[in-house]
Amino acid sequence: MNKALSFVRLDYITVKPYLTLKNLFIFLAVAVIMVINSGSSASAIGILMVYAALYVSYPFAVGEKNGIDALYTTLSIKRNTVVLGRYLFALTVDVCSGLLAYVFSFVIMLMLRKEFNAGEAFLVTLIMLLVFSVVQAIQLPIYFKLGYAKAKFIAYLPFFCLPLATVAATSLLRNVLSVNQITVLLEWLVANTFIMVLLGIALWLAIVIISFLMSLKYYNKREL
Amino acid sequence: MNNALEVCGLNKSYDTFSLKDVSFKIPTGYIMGFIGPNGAGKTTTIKSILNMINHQSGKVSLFGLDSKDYAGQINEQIGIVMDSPFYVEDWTAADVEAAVSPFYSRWDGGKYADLLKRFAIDRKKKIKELSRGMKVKLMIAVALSHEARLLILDEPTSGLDPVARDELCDMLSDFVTDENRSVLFSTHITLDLEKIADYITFILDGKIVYTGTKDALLEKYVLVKGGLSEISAEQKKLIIGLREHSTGFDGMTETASIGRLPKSLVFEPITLEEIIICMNKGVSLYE
Amino acid sequence: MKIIVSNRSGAPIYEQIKAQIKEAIFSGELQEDDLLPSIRQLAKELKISVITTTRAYGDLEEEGFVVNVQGKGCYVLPQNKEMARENALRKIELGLADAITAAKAGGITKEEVADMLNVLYKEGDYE
Repeated sequence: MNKALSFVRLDYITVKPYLTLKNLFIFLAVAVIMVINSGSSASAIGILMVYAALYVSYPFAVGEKNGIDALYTTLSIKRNTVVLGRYLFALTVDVCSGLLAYVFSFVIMLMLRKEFNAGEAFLVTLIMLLVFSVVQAIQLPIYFKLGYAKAKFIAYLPFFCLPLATVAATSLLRNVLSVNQITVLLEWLVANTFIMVLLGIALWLAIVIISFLMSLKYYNKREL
Repeated sequence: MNNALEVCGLNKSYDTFSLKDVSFKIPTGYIMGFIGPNGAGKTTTIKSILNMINHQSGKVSLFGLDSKDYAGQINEQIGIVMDSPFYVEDWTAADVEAAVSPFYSRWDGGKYADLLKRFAIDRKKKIKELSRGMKVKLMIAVALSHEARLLILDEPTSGLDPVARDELCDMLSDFVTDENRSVLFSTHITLDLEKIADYITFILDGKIVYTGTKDALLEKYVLVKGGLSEISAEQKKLIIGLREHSTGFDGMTETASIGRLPKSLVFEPITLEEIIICMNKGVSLYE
Repeated sequence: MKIIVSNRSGAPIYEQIKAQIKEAIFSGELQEDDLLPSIRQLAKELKISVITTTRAYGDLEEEGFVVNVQGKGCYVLPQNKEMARENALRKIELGLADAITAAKAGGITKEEVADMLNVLYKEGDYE
């Protein structure tokens, strides 16, 4: 575990040169614009989380460009540790940016003298966290199997697929179920939020674990 | 005597190239030069030893331990210098220390700082801004700062000027003044090895052609030159890497074969470089 | 003690080292119980391989000039008076042969050469 944590630090040092203030300002500016447009903090949180999701790919990109896998081998970091460390890094980035996003949206709303709904903001952050985590869970095994250069395009598919999937799912539901059934379903969902949350987390956990196992398998097979 | 490194029957195939049955040993306390033309398999062999690529069969042991089973322990004691750093090019020397030191239980920060000073490497300068020679020195600084017992260098001197190469050789000689330390030095610039190498392993086309002491290798072969008319077709077969031109021929032959050649020919001591060149030609001619 | 080696002299490097150490011993520059530079230190300073210096010292030990003490290094052994004498005689013979050749070429007589020998001995205070 120690080594995995040291590896997370190593990943941080790997991407540190690229965490420029310039990048951050651009994103913050876009976030501010979106909040002004939409009036809610949700979009601010959303855009900052996108930032986070992108950053998870940086260790792969930078690492591959500099042949860093050779470094991992010389430091006798086991392949499994690299994978575990990378997932922990992703988790850390997600949580940190979630916090940042939450705080930042609060600040923006304050500055724009808009009402800040703490509960809603928290829920949005949590859901975004889970969603982006799932997206990363899809991306990580692809990066581990193909390496950044080859995986770049495929890995961004989930980002596009998500809105598409949402649209497809909702239209499917609308076509298959009658309005009555949907209402009943929604009421049941609202009434059983606790179960929903549990189910959601269980599903998220399952996806992440499957993703982790796949990454382990792919990375262990890769030749450098 | 213990061997710092033992390679036994290493095999690795690619589409266009394969390592066949590569075997050699480095006794502790000595410098082994690993020579061969480009593409002969030096880097592939080294990467197999370091577990950067998987080999199909064969066994590698370092300090008496199997390289795969004890990878963690072993890598702590190996200092690696490649022809280009495998660090992020936007890192500074300070970043490199922050990145690697947690993984070496015997990291000596003071020694690293001293070496950086000695090599005049600015801690805050990015790797991509360093000259080629400085990059190699940085890798050496790292390699020497965690009490490594074996230094493995893969073509570190290509692109270095003679002054830098001389400094590198000095450092390697200094490294083995402690007889518990050893060096594997792969290069195609044999001039450096001519001086300081104790042992030589010569690889050609994925196969080991010679492994043993440098002195024995340089005594085994001799340069031979003469006029075209001085030598018969039968005798030509004894010449490895025969090169004929309008005013004569030259090549290499085994010292043991001198008796079977005309006394009028000129025989001279040979250098490692000439051995590589003649052997390389010889392979294609006498396949 | 001076040891320098040449790649171009034709003689194998370990032979050159041996010869120079023997010379130092015969001339008295190296005394009994003096410690030679360590094998590895010498290799580093002369920029040659450790095996070469090991071979030189190994041969010297076999020939009775030095002894290798484990963990300490190579010590000069007390010299066989016979060998020192023989070495000296060999050198005198070579030197005299050169002198005689030069004398003949320059038309100097044997008596003149003998006189010069006496003068040199007196001047150099060898008596």
